[in-house]
Amino acid sequence: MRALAVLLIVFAIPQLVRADSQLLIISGLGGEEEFSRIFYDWSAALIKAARRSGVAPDNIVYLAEDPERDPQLIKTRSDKAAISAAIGDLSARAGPADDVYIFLFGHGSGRGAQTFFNIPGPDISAGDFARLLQPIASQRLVVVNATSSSGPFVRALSGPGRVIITATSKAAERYFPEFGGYFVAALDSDSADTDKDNKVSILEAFNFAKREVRREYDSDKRLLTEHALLDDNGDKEGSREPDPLTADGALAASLFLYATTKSADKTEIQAMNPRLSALLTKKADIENRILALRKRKADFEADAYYRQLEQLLLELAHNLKARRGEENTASGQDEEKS
Amino acid sequence: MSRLIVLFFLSLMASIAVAQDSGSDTQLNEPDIGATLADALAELNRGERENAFARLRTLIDYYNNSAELSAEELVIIATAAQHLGVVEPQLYKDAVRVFDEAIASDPNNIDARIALGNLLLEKYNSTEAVLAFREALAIDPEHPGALLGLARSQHFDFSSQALETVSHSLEIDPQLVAARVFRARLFIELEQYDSAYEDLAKALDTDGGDLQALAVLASANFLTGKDAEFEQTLARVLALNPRYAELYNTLAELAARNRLYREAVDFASQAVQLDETSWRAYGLLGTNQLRTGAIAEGISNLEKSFAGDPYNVWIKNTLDLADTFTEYDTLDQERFSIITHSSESAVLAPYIRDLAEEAYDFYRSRYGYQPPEKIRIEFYPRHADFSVRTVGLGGIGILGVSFGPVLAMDSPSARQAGHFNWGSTLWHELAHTFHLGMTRNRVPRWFSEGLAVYEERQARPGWGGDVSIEFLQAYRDGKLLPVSELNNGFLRPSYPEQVIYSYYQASLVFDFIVSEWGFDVIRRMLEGFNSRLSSAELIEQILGLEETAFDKAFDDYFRARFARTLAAVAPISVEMSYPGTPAEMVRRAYWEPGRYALQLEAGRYLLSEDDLQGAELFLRRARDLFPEYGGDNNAYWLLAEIYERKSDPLQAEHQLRSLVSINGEHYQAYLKLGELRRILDDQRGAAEVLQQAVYINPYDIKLHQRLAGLYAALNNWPRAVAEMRAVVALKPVDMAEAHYQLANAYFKNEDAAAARMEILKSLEIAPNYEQGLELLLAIHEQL
Repeated sequence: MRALAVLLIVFAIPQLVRADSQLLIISGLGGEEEFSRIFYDWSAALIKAARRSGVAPDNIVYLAEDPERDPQLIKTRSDKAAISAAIGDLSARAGPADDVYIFLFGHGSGRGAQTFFNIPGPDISAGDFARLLQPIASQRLVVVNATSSSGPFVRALSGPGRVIITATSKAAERYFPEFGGYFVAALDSDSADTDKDNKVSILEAFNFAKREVRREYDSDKRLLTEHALLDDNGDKEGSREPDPLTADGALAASLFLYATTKSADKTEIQAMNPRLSALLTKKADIENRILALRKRKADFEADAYYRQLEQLLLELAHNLKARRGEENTASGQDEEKS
Repeated sequence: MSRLIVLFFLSLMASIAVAQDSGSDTQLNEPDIGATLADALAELNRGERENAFARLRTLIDYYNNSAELSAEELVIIATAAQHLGVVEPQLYKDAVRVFDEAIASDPNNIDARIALGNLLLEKYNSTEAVLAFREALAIDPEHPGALLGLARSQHFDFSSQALETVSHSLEIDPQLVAARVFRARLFIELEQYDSAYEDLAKALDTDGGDLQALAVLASANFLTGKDAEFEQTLARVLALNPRYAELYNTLAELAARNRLYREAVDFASQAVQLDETSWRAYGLLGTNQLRTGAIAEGISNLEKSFAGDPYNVWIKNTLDLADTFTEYDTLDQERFSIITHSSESAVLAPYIRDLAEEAYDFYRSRYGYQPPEKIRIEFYPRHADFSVRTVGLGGIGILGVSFGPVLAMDSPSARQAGHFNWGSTLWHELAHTFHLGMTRNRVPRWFSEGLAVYEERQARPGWGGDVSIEFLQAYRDGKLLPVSELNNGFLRPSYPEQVIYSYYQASLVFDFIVSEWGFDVIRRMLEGFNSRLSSAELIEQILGLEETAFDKAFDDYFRARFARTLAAVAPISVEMSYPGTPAEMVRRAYWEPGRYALQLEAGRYLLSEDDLQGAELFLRRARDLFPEYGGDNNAYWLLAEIYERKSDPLQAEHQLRSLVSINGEHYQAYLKLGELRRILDDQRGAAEVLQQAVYINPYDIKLHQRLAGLYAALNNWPRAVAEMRAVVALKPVDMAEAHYQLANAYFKNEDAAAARMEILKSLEIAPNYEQGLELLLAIHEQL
């Protein structure tokens, strides 16, 4: 039964109701100009990509150590009071169907049992964040902590309906992590869209960033000093290799930072056409059969597995052809009407 | 498999138990023990091992039954234990302990310290051996035995100081046979046979029955092709000691030092037959079998050696490496076995195969020679493993090695990405395989290295090194050797950069020879080496010049070739110190157009100030003063930047084309050149240049994707398939796309079956990939 629930999350027919994304970006102390610049660049790239993808400018808030660096973009200084206020505003503003995204760029540190995000003024701890985020209970929440020593944030923030991502797996990973840059790049990159649905999910971005970080370290012949974690099943244990079929990853696979206007429009067209609707139901059925087959891959000889997969994929290909025919007919009728 | 190395550390002494009871009742009186040891050593020299060992055991008994012994007596006992160590390895530790006792008993006993040093060195602990020798020299700085020991340690540590140190020892004691013999060995390694013979003659004048001197003499005779004398010397040694395995061990070792690995295998096999407890012989046999491709046999013999001598760190390292061979894949071809680590075999092996096949065809046609056996090519992703494969230890400062039929080299993953051209290295090492094969490994080092670098330059523009300012400075400072002494630049470098300079200089010798006499003389010289003629003889017979005249002719060639650059490159210390402001420096550069570094510096400064016009003037001057320079801060790269900023891609392309034609390791230049050619709508040219970049960084996914795209645009689907296969092997994040692109390339290449499998793998990941589903249908229409 649990597996079936996962399948429905992954391959449910798109809903008509579209959630908004609320985005809060907090960049902390750089320490050196080089790092301050990097954290700003990541933040700016994230904002640019979010806007380009249709996230409303009013839904994006950016706090940084030095608002003078870019007064147009940066709302205020990222000290503890401002962070507290920003999260309070966010929880008040977000509708129940909205998804909330919080990104932390900067340095982190571990002192005793506590882990901190280094900001202007007193640092803010993982425990502080846990308290601040309590009001965000009904929305789906994604926290990406791309700082060093960020691993313990998983345990502190983990909970139902939450995706917690950290650049490192433990507080002892203290060196500047590259993860954040690749994560941001992934959100605006076709090559991170590994399931070819024209959207980059949070899980895809995580996997992209993790892979690129490793590649960079390998290429530079450096010891890998950062191991990113993702937790989205609320068990307070992050996964280095999330897999929606077995543990963490299912929720992250269904979350997309950006609004998807185009596909929403399509969905509306589809809903008005009963033949299309039937084809979509059929499509979901085939997808679920493919997923079920993939889960049982180890039970088959390779040839037998791929023969079965091929039959299902051919069904899907014919279904696609049929859907396109219906869509073309529908858009032709629309043009005649107009 | 874990394998413990037995370390020979003085610090262990306290915990080592003294040998207790050897089982003999023999009692010796003090005056007898020196004579007993002498008798035992004489018996060992005659090959009467059982008698000798029995006699040596009486010395152990004497020690165990004595209350207090003098330092001199303790040295005798320790020496006895050391000789018994071959059959009872534990006694090596006892020997060290007793030597230590002797030193404690009489700190001024030099013999004890030297003997201890020799034992430590024999057991591969050079670090502590050097300490023992230095302590001896602190007591007597002119002690010839201590100097000899130090020289041996230096040789062990690959220091070129060894020759100087042993020569000093011989100045103090010209009659020291062991020093004469050791120096003769060094001369043989340096291929200076006349000097070796001179030392051996003096050693044998002093002691005509010295077995080591005779063994080294046999080696010299063998290496110089004096077959009759070689046989006579063998007979002479075996008449003195019919079980003297060290004769063949010495021959094997010196043969291997001279790259005669097959002969080393033969000699080591004979050593094993003479003495089945010669662990050194098993080690030499196994090591050289690995070098000649007999992997299983080699490992087996190394195991035997290590079982008998668990102190040998080289053999331990090699066996540990051999344990990892299961992690490697083998691509078997008709002419090659290509061994790559399974983590990178899918990416690397096809490129290695293609280049190796190309090189093979090139060399076979050029030299009219075909290696008789399959060539084994090994790529190691860890430099330490390559180093162990080559010399048994880590830290070797080279990129590749050719043992003839076996090549080993760093994989590009062993080095920082973009800093190592594995293609040119493979081309270089394969040249050795042909040259060694043609000459039965008789080609001298300077000739084979220079020719291999020269051949790199024939393979691809930019391969084979480029001239540096430092190289020209070395020439100006008289630090480059004349051709007649160039071998020393490889075998006995006198400063750290000399080996690198010697490679490039030797390659220039071949530029010179080919320009003056044509390439055919090189083939004839290789034939001459096969007939055991020396470099000097061949230069005289084939080039018609005496060695010194050839040295002079090459020097003239060098001066003429680099005349303008030599004049433009002042000593670095002068060039790099510019007084005054940047504006004054620019003014000075304007009025002194013949100063290379000044022009370059002025150009760089103006470029940083966005004065493209001014920068161009000075950088063009710099380029024309030193057109062969493509290293750091070269003028071509900066000029290309200027032309790019001036939106003149054609001129930028010209600069970068020139740059990669002299520097085959400039990865960024290849990438940029590829992009410029694409902009200039030269897709074929772009593909050609990007293909060269694969020899520097085969792990760059974007590079392979660009190449695949270019080949697709050129309808070269076989190459597009190859590049997309590399992309898939590199496991990009977007595997669905990679499989799709490969499927598409297969499909266009009319291989529907392969295309089917790839598209299934793509859609397995991304079932809703619409283009993928379309391709699946298209493929099915063809199946």
